[in-house]
Amino acid sequence: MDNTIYKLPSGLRVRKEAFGLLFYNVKDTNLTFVRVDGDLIPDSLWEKGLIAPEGRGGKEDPKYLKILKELVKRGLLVETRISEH
Amino acid sequence: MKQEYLSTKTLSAPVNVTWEITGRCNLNCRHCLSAGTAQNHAGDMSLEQCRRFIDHLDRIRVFQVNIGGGEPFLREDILEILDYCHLRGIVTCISTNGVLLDNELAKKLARMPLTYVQISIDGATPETNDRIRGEGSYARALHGVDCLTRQGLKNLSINTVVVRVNFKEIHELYRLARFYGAKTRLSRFRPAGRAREAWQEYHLTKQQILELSAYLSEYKDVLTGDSFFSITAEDRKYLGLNMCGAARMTCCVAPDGSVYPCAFLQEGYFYAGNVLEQPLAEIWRRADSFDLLRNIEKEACMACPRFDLCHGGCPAVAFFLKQELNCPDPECIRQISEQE
Repeated sequence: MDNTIYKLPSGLRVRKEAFGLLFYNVKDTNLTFVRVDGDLIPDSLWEKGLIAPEGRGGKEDPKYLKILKELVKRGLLVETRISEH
Repeated sequence: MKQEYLSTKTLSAPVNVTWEITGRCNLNCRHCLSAGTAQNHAGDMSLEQCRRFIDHLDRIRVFQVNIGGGEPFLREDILEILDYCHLRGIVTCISTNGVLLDNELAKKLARMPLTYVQISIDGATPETNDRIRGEGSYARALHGVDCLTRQGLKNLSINTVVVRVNFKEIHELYRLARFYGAKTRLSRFRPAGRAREAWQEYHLTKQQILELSAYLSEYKDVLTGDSFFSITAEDRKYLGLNMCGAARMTCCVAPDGSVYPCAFLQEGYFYAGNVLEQPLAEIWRRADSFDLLRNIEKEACMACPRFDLCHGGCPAVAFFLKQELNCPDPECIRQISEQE
């Protein structure tokens, strides 16, 4: 069975702000402000740099998945499939 | 989104911190912003104090530390401090006069992927540079650039404070930086610290400000590390921050741990606290002087079509030249254009 995890790309840092997420790219020191409901994002993103499916009960929440997909589209997260045996 | 948010709300912590890591310097530059500031610094923070401070920066998720001074490489423990930042994923940008750089030090710096180095050179010729920064400083700084380039440091820039006497050499400085594979960074001359004494002699003429703005429009790869908002043309709007980041995105920590909204506002009036006595996060949230900076309302600028570009420009220039914060940047390009 495959699971999807979302990771910060190499060189990106992120923190939670009242407006949502603030990303910082160590390769060019550029900032990206993303307005989202930061409470929907599990703490594991800023603590470990990844979001695993078990990291949040509401994984199937369409709003949450939409945010993740949008962040992937903008290059702020990387989607990876891992196999569970 | 960024400007809109920053003009009305406060971030949880600074994005980057300017850290004047030592008050000692081996040069005596005429435009030094740090010399003669409000604090008679009690001395530099110890290595252990620096480590504790970096731990705190990590906890509050500060992304970047801009290390300056004084001359950072006068600290014997500077590499340990840099390493400690990098271990925590904090990017360091070192601002140095380059005098102490040799191949051995350059080699160590080149092995630090999270380090950016900015060497100050204020003229394309020894005559011009040394007149501002002191005898022999041009050759020594250029030697530093050469060492870093030979050792393969990737993130290197040459920083120039643009003043009346080096204005004509900006393009030569740009070519010099390109020769070494470095970026060019231009900084505004501001009447803070010792620069107050040199203001009359060094500040740009109105014509030079207009020419500088045009130059920046033509050479978009030239970095402007600080508040060029008031003299930036529309076509550079998206190249960087277009409002003052002091107390909004950044703040300054002096060698003794004193905190100010920015390196140019190290005056008693703006003192916000000390990181040896109070966590920076708390100072960031509670300091009256930070609130003051966050709530500046430059009414005279609000109807201006350029307001979104500059939000009134640099408060430090306004403060030192007009003794108030709520007035337009005295070097505002629009005002200058109308006068010309």
